[in-house]
Amino acid sequence: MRVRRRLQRARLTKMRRPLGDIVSLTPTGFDTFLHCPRAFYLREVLGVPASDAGPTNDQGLLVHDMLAHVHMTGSCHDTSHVAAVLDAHAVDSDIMRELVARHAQRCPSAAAERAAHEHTLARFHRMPKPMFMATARIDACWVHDGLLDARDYKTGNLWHSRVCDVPAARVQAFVLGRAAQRRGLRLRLRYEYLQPEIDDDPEPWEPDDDDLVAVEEELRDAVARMHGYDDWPGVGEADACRTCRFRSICRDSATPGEPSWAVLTALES
Amino acid sequence: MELDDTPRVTPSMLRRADECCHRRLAHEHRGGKTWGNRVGDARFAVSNRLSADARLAHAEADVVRAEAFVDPRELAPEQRRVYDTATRSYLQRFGARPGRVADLGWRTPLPQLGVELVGDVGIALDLPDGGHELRRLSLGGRRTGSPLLDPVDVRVALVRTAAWAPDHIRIVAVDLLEQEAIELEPDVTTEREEALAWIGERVDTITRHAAHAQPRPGNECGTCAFVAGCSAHG
Repeated sequence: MRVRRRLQRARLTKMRRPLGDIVSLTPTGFDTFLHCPRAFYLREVLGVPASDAGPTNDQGLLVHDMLAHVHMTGSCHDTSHVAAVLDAHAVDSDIMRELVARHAQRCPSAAAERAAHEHTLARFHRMPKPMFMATARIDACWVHDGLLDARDYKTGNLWHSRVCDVPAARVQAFVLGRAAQRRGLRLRLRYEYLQPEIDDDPEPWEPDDDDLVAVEEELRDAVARMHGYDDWPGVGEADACRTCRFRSICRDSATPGEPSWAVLTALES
Repeated sequence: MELDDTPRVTPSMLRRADECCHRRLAHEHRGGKTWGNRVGDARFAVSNRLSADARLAHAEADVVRAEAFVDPRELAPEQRRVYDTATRSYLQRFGARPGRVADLGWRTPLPQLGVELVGDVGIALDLPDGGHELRRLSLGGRRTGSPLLDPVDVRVALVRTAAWAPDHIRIVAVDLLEQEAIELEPDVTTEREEALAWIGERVDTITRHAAHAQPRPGNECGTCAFVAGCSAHG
């Protein structure tokens, strides 16, 4: 009996500190945490499988892949090259050509000395505690005119008029900022909205050294709050919960229901 | 401190030795995370608990004990929903397929390669008809198009089960949330030999990459247990 009690206590104690010594932060994870700590906890910390379908992003993923291929093997300004790449991947459609053309209007590759595509950067924050490791996959970076010009391709809704207001951009700026500083470059982070129905991109962000210090402190503060949570509260608002991939099973969901996998089980039985 | 300093290889190392961070590979190959930073392991809580309870359910040869699956009250409510669905799914699928659990442990020494092959290959069962069945359970979360069982899983399973199931084995991989399953009955005579040869080649690759231990900062830094002392994060 005593052993069992000890085991139960050990299990409970272990569950009280589910975070590692170094918290992993990604743009999506940070954005999720600010919107709903419980969604972050379920997805990033506990690794709970999604109980509900989210919006599909197949077209977005495809255009990211195609733009990387187009740039790594030629130029986005060369329409025959673009057509050949799209054709080789069996995705040569009007909409894909239009998305690539929309990018080409803003692509700085002609003036660039160097470029990288679909590249993941990592940056460690050690002191002051708590420690965290930020990682971000950057769609494209070009070096030109003393700039590290980083791009995030978008095919979804436009939510912000300035990149500096986007939570995910803080993590991107944090990892890119050091890369720019090491090369003696200024950082510019731009969100490129590729679909034709969005006329203007949000205002690009060129954070200076003070901005980057403030960003680091903001991320550190968020990680400190994570360490302080025992309960990981959910936002519990219908508008936010409606599209959450844990909406059916989340303890704090405003739109609870039956998870998609449970429905399958019920059908089989 | 690790008591045994035989280098270890895991399915993940076998798969990703070429593209992963070679510094992390070197540390993991040498064995143990005792001196590393603590990484969060809560994401394995449900699958570990499920596997442990399923093993308990198969303590006897001729019956599957449903009562071995006990509500894991120490877990978060959402994890308990996953556990509940998975156990119901397990019992629907395997409730009438008993077998006595065999203990394969976590590692298999491969002295001819100078390494230990480490990792849980699934629930090993001695079936009432004398057969051997290996059940690999997963709980959703796979990327679109990812197989339930890839060739590395099969090779590792074949090598790790060589002593227990020398002549025949059935491998069953099931996603208990997505209701997908696959069953294989590999030709153990030829495929096990091929698997060992393939693992030998990969061990050479792992050893070569681990020797220079060059860090490659990137996505996996977020889950690395060896950040301290890494030149990429100095």
